[in-house]
Amino acid sequence: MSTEAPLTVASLGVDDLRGVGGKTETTVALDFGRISFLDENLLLYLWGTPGQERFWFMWDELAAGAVGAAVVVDTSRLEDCFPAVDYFQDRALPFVVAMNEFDGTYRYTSEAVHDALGLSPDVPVVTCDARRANSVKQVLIAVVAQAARAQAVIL
Amino acid sequence: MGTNPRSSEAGPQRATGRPFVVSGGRTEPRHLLDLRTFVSVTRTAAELEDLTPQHRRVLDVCRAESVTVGDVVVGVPYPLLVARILISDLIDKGALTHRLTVLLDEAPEPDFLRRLSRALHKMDVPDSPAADGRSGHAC
Repeated sequence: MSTEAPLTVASLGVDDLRGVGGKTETTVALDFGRISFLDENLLLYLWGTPGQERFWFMWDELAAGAVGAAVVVDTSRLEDCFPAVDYFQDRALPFVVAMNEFDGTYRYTSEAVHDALGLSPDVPVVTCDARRANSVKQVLIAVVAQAARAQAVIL
Repeated sequence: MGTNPRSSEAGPQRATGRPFVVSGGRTEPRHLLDLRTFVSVTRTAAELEDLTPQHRRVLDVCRAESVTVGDVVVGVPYPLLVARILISDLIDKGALTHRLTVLLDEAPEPDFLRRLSRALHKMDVPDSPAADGRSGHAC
């Protein structure tokens, strides 16, 4: 396996502690995963950090050199993702907004979320169920597509 | 993005000492250690005898193939900064070498994006939480 060119995708989960009842730990500050694509000689690094502003020091490090980002949004707490959206818009890092739809949450249309967040027209809003690997995969594909679009690269 | 369930088993075990004790009161690693810096164990490592259990723990994680600082951070029960200081110590002792290969200020090459997109499309994933390779989280 060649490791000469690791790629990273920074991602921000806005409500990182949701659904972890019974845990007494403080907010998890860094999530990490890696996927090896042997056919393509690639290592994909996935980093997740909480959306709160106090973790921005970590975002700076992860954003540098990242292919792109996904801002994972809980639609019942939409306002929490404004700092994350601003962060990536300011730094011109390609990103998508992923609405995390799981049982029991309010559902909105992509257009409604796009408007509510005041996103640039070119920023896609996709839906996902973050518990499902295939759904997360689609989000990653959307991030790469957005990174390609930012450079006018045809995939 | 949560690529692993947030069960306590998936995370590192509880730290066995206070962070500032493990780091010897230091707050700055001597080497620049980006999360994506690769670290590898040298032959010298086996000859070193003055290592603390914490250093040995870090070394054990580094023995796997293509390990980054990020791998270490999620593989040991110490905070990010402490893990970086321990790695830095090990570099000073000659037990680890490090190299950062990511170009931090350049947009990815078009061909790179095409390969990544292709790889993601081809990736076979079950419709349930899964991730191959290592994953974890750290405080």
